[in-house]
Amino acid sequence: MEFELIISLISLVVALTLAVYMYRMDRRLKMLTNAVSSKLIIKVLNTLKSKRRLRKRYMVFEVLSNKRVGKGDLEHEIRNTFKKIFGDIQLARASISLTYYDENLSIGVIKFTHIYKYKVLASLGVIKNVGDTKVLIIPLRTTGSLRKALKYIKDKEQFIKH
Amino acid sequence: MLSTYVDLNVRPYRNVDLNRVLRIASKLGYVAVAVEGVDVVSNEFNGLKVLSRVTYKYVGKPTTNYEGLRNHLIVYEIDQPTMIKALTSLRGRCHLIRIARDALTGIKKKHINALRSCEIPIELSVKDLISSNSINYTYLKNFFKLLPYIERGDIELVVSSYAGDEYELIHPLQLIALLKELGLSELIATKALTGVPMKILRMVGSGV
Repeated sequence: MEFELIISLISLVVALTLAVYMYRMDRRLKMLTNAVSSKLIIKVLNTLKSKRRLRKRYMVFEVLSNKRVGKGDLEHEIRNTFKKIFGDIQLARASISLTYYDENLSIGVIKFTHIYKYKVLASLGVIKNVGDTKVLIIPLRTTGSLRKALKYIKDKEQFIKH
Repeated sequence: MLSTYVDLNVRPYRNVDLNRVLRIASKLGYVAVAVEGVDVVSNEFNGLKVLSRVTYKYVGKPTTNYEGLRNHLIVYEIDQPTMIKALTSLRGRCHLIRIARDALTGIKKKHINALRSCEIPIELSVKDLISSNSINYTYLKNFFKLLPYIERGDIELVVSSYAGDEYELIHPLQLIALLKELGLSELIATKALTGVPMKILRMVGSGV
Protein backbone atom coordinates (compact mmCIF):
# COMPACT_ATOMS: atom_id res chain seq x y z
CA MET A 1 0.00 0.00 0.00
CA GLU A 2 2.79 2.35 1.03
CA PHE A 3 4.78 1.40 -2.04
CA GLU A 4 1.89 2.33 -4.36
CA LEU A 5 1.50 5.70 -2.61
CA ILE A 6 5.18 6.54 -3.08
CA ILE A 7 5.03 5.57 -6.76
CA SER A 8 1.98 7.76 -7.34
CA LEU A 9 3.61 10.68 -5.54
CA ILE A 10 6.77 10.38 -7.65
CA SER A 11 4.73 10.21 -10.85
CA LEU A 12 2.79 13.30 -9.75
CA VAL A 13 6.00 15.26 -9.15
CA VAL A 14 7.43 14.17 -12.51
CA ALA A 15 4.21 15.13 -14.30
CA LEU A 16 4.18 18.55 -12.62
CA THR A 17 7.84 19.19 -13.51
CA LEU A 18 7.18 18.21 -17.13
CA ALA A 19 4.17 20.50 -17.27
CA VAL A 20 6.20 23.48 -15.97
CA TYR A 21 9.04 22.67 -18.35
CA MET A 22 6.65 22.42 -21.34
CA TYR A 23 5.04 25.73 -20.39
CA ARG A 24 8.45 27.45 -20.29
CA MET A 25 9.55 25.88 -23.60
CA ASP A 26 6.31 26.94 -25.20
CA ARG A 27 6.87 30.54 -24.14
CA ARG A 28 10.44 30.49 -25.47
CA LEU A 29 9.30 28.96 -28.75
CA LYS A 30 6.61 31.60 -29.12
CA MET A 31 9.21 34.32 -28.48
CA LEU A 32 11.52 32.79 -31.06
CA THR A 33 8.85 32.49 -33.75
CA ASN A 34 7.75 36.05 -33.06
CA ALA A 35 11.32 37.25 -33.40
CA VAL A 36 11.93 35.42 -36.65
CA SER A 37 8.64 36.07 -38.33
CA SER A 38 7.97 39.73 -37.66
CA LYS A 39 9.40 43.21 -37.22
CA LEU A 40 10.00 42.40 -33.59
CA ILE A 41 13.56 41.20 -34.34
CA ILE A 42 15.20 44.51 -33.40
CA LYS A 43 12.97 44.89 -30.37
CA VAL A 44 13.78 41.39 -29.11
CA LEU A 45 17.50 41.87 -29.73
CA ASN A 46 17.44 45.18 -27.87
CA THR A 47 15.61 43.57 -24.95
CA LEU A 48 18.15 40.77 -24.84
CA LYS A 49 21.00 43.29 -25.04
CA SER A 50 19.62 45.38 -22.21
CA LYS A 51 19.19 42.27 -20.07
CA ARG A 52 22.78 41.14 -20.68
CA ARG A 53 24.90 40.93 -17.59
CA LEU A 54 27.20 43.89 -17.19
CA ARG A 55 30.75 42.68 -16.88
CA LYS A 56 33.77 44.43 -15.43
CA ARG A 57 36.80 45.50 -17.40
CA TYR A 58 40.22 46.50 -16.13
CA MET A 59 42.30 48.91 -18.18
CA VAL A 60 46.03 49.12 -17.54
CA PHE A 61 47.40 52.58 -18.25
CA GLU A 62 50.60 54.53 -17.91
CA VAL A 63 50.88 58.15 -16.86
CA LEU A 64 53.58 60.35 -18.36
CA SER A 65 54.25 63.49 -16.36
CA ASN A 66 57.11 65.67 -15.23
CA LYS A 67 56.00 65.50 -11.56
CA ARG A 68 54.68 62.62 -9.47
CA VAL A 69 50.89 62.35 -9.58
CA GLY A 70 48.96 61.12 -6.53
CA LYS A 71 46.38 58.34 -6.73
CA GLY A 72 43.59 60.42 -5.22
CA ASP A 73 44.16 63.39 -7.54
CA LEU A 74 44.27 61.13 -10.58
CA GLU A 75 41.07 59.27 -9.67
CA HIS A 76 39.30 62.57 -9.00
CA GLU A 77 40.42 63.97 -12.36
CA ILE A 78 39.36 60.83 -14.28
CA ARG A 79 35.89 60.88 -12.67
CA ASN A 80 35.55 64.63 -13.11
CA THR A 81 36.47 64.53 -16.81
CA PHE A 82 34.11 61.62 -17.49
CA LYS A 83 31.35 63.53 -15.68
CA LYS A 84 32.04 66.71 -17.67
CA ILE A 85 31.77 64.90 -21.00
CA PHE A 86 29.09 62.26 -20.41
CA GLY A 87 27.23 63.39 -17.28
CA ASP A 88 26.38 62.04 -13.84
CA ILE A 89 24.11 59.21 -14.96
CA GLN A 90 26.69 57.69 -17.30
CA LEU A 91 29.35 58.07 -14.61
CA ALA A 92 27.23 56.13 -12.13
CA ARG A 93 26.48 53.42 -14.70
CA ALA A 94 30.11 53.11 -15.77
CA SER A 95 31.13 52.71 -12.08
CA ILE A 96 34.67 53.90 -12.66
CA SER A 97 37.27 53.39 -9.96
CA LEU A 98 41.03 53.43 -9.82
CA THR A 99 41.69 49.94 -8.48
CA TYR A 100 45.46 50.07 -8.45
CA TYR A 101 48.07 52.77 -8.95
CA ASP A 102 51.82 52.47 -8.54
CA GLU A 103 53.20 55.98 -8.05
CA ASN A 104 56.80 54.87 -8.66
CA LEU A 105 56.08 53.15 -11.97
CA SER A 106 53.22 55.55 -12.86
CA ILE A 107 51.15 52.56 -13.94
CA GLY A 108 47.59 52.00 -12.82
CA VAL A 109 44.47 49.92 -13.34
CA ILE A 110 41.07 51.46 -13.84
CA LYS A 111 37.89 49.42 -13.37
CA PHE A 112 34.70 50.10 -15.33
CA THR A 113 31.66 48.40 -16.87
CA HIS A 114 32.40 46.71 -20.21
CA ILE A 115 29.96 48.72 -22.35
CA TYR A 116 31.71 51.98 -21.40
CA LYS A 117 35.13 51.08 -22.80
CA TYR A 118 35.12 53.70 -25.57
CA LYS A 119 33.74 56.37 -23.26
CA VAL A 120 36.48 55.70 -20.71
CA LEU A 121 39.13 55.72 -23.47
CA ALA A 122 37.81 59.02 -24.80
CA SER A 123 37.77 60.67 -21.38
CA LEU A 124 41.33 59.46 -20.63
CA GLY A 125 42.41 61.10 -23.89
CA VAL A 126 40.86 64.40 -22.87
CA ILE A 127 42.78 64.56 -19.56
CA LYS A 128 45.76 66.85 -20.08
CA ASN A 129 46.31 68.17 -16.56
CA VAL A 130 46.11 66.76 -13.06
CA GLY A 131 46.20 69.80 -10.81
CA ASP A 132 49.04 71.88 -12.19
CA THR A 133 50.89 68.91 -13.63
CA LYS A 134 50.76 68.21 -17.36
CA VAL A 135 49.99 64.55 -18.00
CA LEU A 136 49.58 62.12 -20.86
CA ILE A 137 47.63 58.95 -20.12
CA ILE A 138 48.55 56.02 -22.35
CA PRO A 139 46.19 53.00 -22.37
CA LEU A 140 48.23 49.80 -22.46
CA ARG A 141 45.81 46.87 -22.21
CA THR A 142 42.24 46.01 -21.28
CA THR A 143 41.60 42.75 -19.41
CA GLY A 144 38.63 40.92 -17.96
CA SER A 145 40.10 40.34 -14.52
CA LEU A 146 42.23 42.25 -12.05
CA ARG A 147 44.57 39.26 -11.76
CA LYS A 148 45.46 39.43 -15.47
CA ALA A 149 45.90 43.21 -15.30
CA LEU A 150 48.28 42.90 -12.34
CA LYS A 151 50.15 40.07 -14.10
CA TYR A 152 50.64 42.37 -17.11
CA ILE A 153 52.03 45.09 -14.82
CA LYS A 154 54.35 42.58 -13.12
CA ASP A 155 55.65 41.36 -16.50
CA LYS A 156 56.20 44.94 -17.61
CA GLU A 157 58.04 45.76 -14.39
CA GLN A 158 60.36 42.77 -14.89
CA PHE A 159 60.92 43.80 -18.51
CA ILE A 160 61.89 47.32 -17.39
CA LYS A 161 64.30 45.92 -14.72
CA HIS A 162 66.08 43.70 -17.24
CA MET B 1 42.38 47.42 -36.87
CA LEU B 2 45.17 48.93 -38.97
CA SER B 3 48.21 50.05 -37.06
CA THR B 4 49.47 52.70 -39.48
CA TYR B 5 48.53 55.74 -37.46
CA VAL B 6 49.79 59.07 -38.74
CA ASP B 7 49.90 62.48 -37.05
CA LEU B 8 50.19 65.17 -39.70
CA ASN B 9 50.60 68.15 -37.40
CA VAL B 10 53.22 68.38 -34.68
CA ARG B 11 54.45 71.91 -33.96
CA PRO B 12 56.90 71.83 -31.03
CA TYR B 13 57.25 74.87 -28.78
CA ARG B 14 60.61 76.67 -28.85
CA ASN B 15 61.92 75.20 -25.59
CA VAL B 16 60.78 71.64 -26.35
CA ASP B 17 63.16 68.93 -27.51
CA LEU B 18 61.83 67.47 -30.76
CA ASN B 19 63.45 64.10 -30.13
CA ARG B 20 61.43 63.69 -26.92
CA VAL B 21 58.19 64.41 -28.76
CA LEU B 22 59.12 61.96 -31.50
CA ARG B 23 60.05 59.28 -28.96
CA ILE B 24 56.64 59.54 -27.30
CA ALA B 25 54.88 59.62 -30.70
CA SER B 26 56.67 56.39 -31.58
CA LYS B 27 55.68 54.90 -28.21
CA LEU B 28 52.05 55.79 -28.85
CA GLY B 29 52.12 53.75 -32.05
CA TYR B 30 52.38 56.39 -34.75
CA VAL B 31 54.31 55.36 -37.85
CA ALA B 32 54.70 58.82 -39.38
CA VAL B 33 54.67 62.38 -38.11
CA ALA B 34 54.73 65.71 -39.96
CA VAL B 35 56.68 68.38 -38.08
CA GLU B 36 56.42 72.11 -38.59
CA GLY B 37 58.60 75.01 -37.48
CA VAL B 38 61.70 72.89 -36.79
CA ASP B 39 64.44 71.72 -39.14
CA VAL B 40 64.05 67.99 -39.55
CA VAL B 41 67.56 66.51 -39.50
CA SER B 42 66.66 62.90 -40.20
CA ASN B 43 63.75 61.38 -42.07
CA GLU B 44 63.50 58.54 -39.59
CA PHE B 45 63.55 58.30 -35.79
CA ASN B 46 63.24 54.91 -34.06
CA GLY B 47 61.27 53.54 -37.01
CA LEU B 48 59.04 56.62 -37.07
CA LYS B 49 58.92 58.43 -40.41
CA VAL B 50 59.40 62.17 -39.97
CA LEU B 51 58.61 64.72 -42.66
CA SER B 52 58.58 68.49 -42.83
CA ARG B 53 55.39 70.44 -43.13
CA VAL B 54 54.82 73.96 -44.41
CA THR B 55 51.61 75.84 -43.68
CA TYR B 56 50.54 78.88 -45.71
CA LYS B 57 47.73 81.24 -44.75
CA TYR B 58 45.09 81.19 -47.46
CA VAL B 59 44.32 84.70 -48.68
CA GLY B 60 42.17 83.96 -51.70
CA LYS B 61 44.79 82.47 -54.01
CA PRO B 62 47.59 79.92 -53.73
CA THR B 63 51.28 80.74 -53.53
CA THR B 64 52.85 80.64 -56.98
CA ASN B 65 56.03 78.70 -56.32
CA TYR B 66 57.23 76.16 -53.80
CA GLU B 67 60.95 76.44 -54.30
CA GLY B 68 62.98 74.02 -52.23
CA LEU B 69 59.88 72.38 -50.80
CA ARG B 70 60.10 69.02 -52.48
CA ASN B 71 59.09 66.18 -50.14
CA HIS B 72 57.36 68.71 -47.85
CA LEU B 73 53.76 68.45 -46.78
CA ILE B 74 52.07 71.61 -48.07
CA VAL B 75 49.05 72.84 -46.15
CA TYR B 76 46.85 75.90 -46.49
CA GLU B 77 45.32 77.22 -43.30
CA ILE B 78 41.98 78.96 -43.32
CA ASP B 79 41.45 81.10 -40.23
CA GLN B 80 38.28 82.97 -41.26
CA PRO B 81 35.06 81.37 -42.52
CA THR B 82 34.78 84.09 -45.18
CA MET B 83 37.98 82.72 -46.74
CA ILE B 84 36.32 79.38 -47.45
CA LYS B 85 35.54 80.22 -51.07
CA ALA B 86 37.04 79.51 -54.48
CA LEU B 87 38.98 76.63 -52.98
CA THR B 88 39.08 74.83 -56.32
CA SER B 89 42.13 76.96 -57.15
CA LEU B 90 43.98 74.99 -54.47
CA ARG B 91 43.38 71.69 -56.21
CA GLY B 92 46.76 70.25 -57.17
CA ARG B 93 48.51 73.04 -55.26
CA CYS B 94 48.39 71.62 -51.74
CA HIS B 95 47.94 68.35 -49.89
CA LEU B 96 45.64 69.48 -47.13
CA ILE B 97 43.45 72.34 -45.93
CA ARG B 98 43.58 73.11 -42.23
CA ILE B 99 40.46 74.60 -40.73
CA ALA B 100 41.47 76.75 -37.77
CA ARG B 101 39.27 77.16 -34.72
CA ASP B 102 37.93 80.59 -35.73
CA ALA B 103 37.10 79.40 -39.23
CA LEU B 104 35.04 76.52 -37.90
CA THR B 105 33.18 78.79 -35.48
CA GLY B 106 31.29 80.69 -38.18
CA ILE B 107 30.99 77.96 -40.79
CA LYS B 108 27.80 77.95 -42.89
CA LYS B 109 26.20 75.74 -45.54
CA LYS B 110 27.82 77.64 -48.45
CA HIS B 111 31.25 77.16 -46.85
CA ILE B 112 30.62 73.45 -46.45
CA ASN B 113 29.62 73.26 -50.12
CA ALA B 114 32.90 74.98 -51.05
CA LEU B 115 34.81 72.41 -49.00
CA ARG B 116 32.90 69.60 -50.69
CA SER B 117 33.56 70.86 -54.20
CA CYS B 118 37.31 71.41 -53.74
CA GLU B 119 37.85 67.67 -53.03
CA ILE B 120 40.91 68.27 -50.83
CA PRO B 121 41.03 66.56 -47.42
CA ILE B 122 40.48 68.90 -44.48
CA GLU B 123 42.41 68.83 -41.22
CA LEU B 124 41.00 69.46 -37.76
CA SER B 125 43.08 69.57 -34.58
CA VAL B 126 42.31 67.84 -31.33
CA LYS B 127 44.02 70.69 -29.47
CA ASP B 128 41.24 73.02 -30.65
CA LEU B 129 38.58 70.54 -29.53
CA ILE B 130 39.98 69.88 -26.07
CA SER B 131 40.35 72.71 -23.60
CA SER B 132 41.09 72.45 -19.86
CA ASN B 133 40.27 68.73 -19.49
CA SER B 134 36.97 69.15 -21.28
CA ILE B 135 35.53 69.56 -24.75
CA ASN B 136 35.16 73.01 -26.27
CA TYR B 137 31.41 73.49 -26.71
CA THR B 138 31.55 76.09 -29.53
CA TYR B 139 34.02 74.05 -31.54
CA LEU B 140 32.00 70.88 -31.04
CA LYS B 141 28.74 72.58 -32.06
CA ASN B 142 30.25 73.61 -35.39
CA PHE B 143 32.01 70.29 -35.84
CA PHE B 144 28.57 68.66 -35.77
CA LYS B 145 27.63 70.71 -38.85
CA LEU B 146 30.45 69.03 -40.78
CA LEU B 147 29.82 65.59 -39.34
CA PRO B 148 27.09 64.34 -41.77
CA TYR B 149 29.21 65.29 -44.80
CA ILE B 150 32.25 63.52 -43.37
CA GLU B 151 30.17 60.46 -42.53
CA ARG B 152 28.73 60.40 -46.06
CA GLY B 153 32.22 60.63 -47.57
CA ASP B 154 31.67 64.04 -49.22
CA ILE B 155 34.49 65.55 -47.18
CA GLU B 156 37.64 63.64 -46.25
CA LEU B 157 38.78 64.29 -42.70
CA VAL B 158 42.23 64.13 -41.18
CA VAL B 159 42.56 64.55 -37.43
CA SER B 160 45.88 65.70 -36.03
CA SER B 161 47.14 66.54 -32.57
CA TYR B 162 48.77 69.97 -33.23
CA ALA B 163 50.95 69.06 -30.28
CA GLY B 164 53.43 71.56 -28.89
CA ASP B 165 55.03 69.09 -26.49
CA GLU B 166 54.83 65.38 -25.67
CA TYR B 167 51.92 65.87 -23.23
CA GLU B 168 49.73 67.32 -25.96
CA LEU B 169 50.01 64.21 -28.10
CA ILE B 170 47.09 61.81 -27.95
CA HIS B 171 46.99 58.03 -28.24
CA PRO B 172 45.38 56.99 -31.57
CA LEU B 173 42.95 54.62 -29.84
CA GLN B 174 41.81 57.41 -27.52
CA LEU B 175 41.31 59.67 -30.52
CA ILE B 176 39.28 57.04 -32.38
CA ALA B 177 37.18 56.48 -29.25
CA LEU B 178 36.60 60.22 -28.91
CA LEU B 179 35.55 60.59 -32.56
CA LYS B 180 33.28 57.57 -32.16
CA GLU B 181 31.63 59.10 -29.11
CA LEU B 182 31.15 62.34 -31.05
CA GLY B 183 29.10 60.44 -33.60
CA LEU B 184 31.47 59.30 -36.34
CA SER B 185 31.42 55.66 -37.32
CA GLU B 186 34.43 53.60 -36.26
CA LEU B 187 35.45 53.10 -39.90
CA ILE B 188 35.52 56.83 -40.73
CA ALA B 189 37.22 57.63 -37.39
CA THR B 190 39.94 55.08 -38.13
CA LYS B 191 40.30 56.37 -41.68
CA ALA B 192 40.87 59.91 -40.36
CA LEU B 193 44.01 58.61 -38.63
CA THR B 194 45.18 55.92 -41.02
CA GLY B 195 43.81 55.75 -44.58
CA VAL B 196 43.51 59.43 -45.52
CA PRO B 197 46.86 60.55 -43.98
CA MET B 198 48.63 57.59 -45.60
CA LYS B 199 47.18 58.62 -48.97
CA ILE B 200 48.51 62.15 -48.39
CA LEU B 201 51.93 60.78 -47.44
CA ARG B 202 52.11 58.89 -50.71
CA MET B 203 51.27 62.15 -52.52
CA VAL B 204 54.07 63.96 -50.64
CA GLY B 205 56.56 61.46 -51.99
CA SER B 206 55.50 62.18 -55.57
CA GLY B 207 55.27 65.98 -55.12
CA VAL B 208 52.15 68.15 -55.32
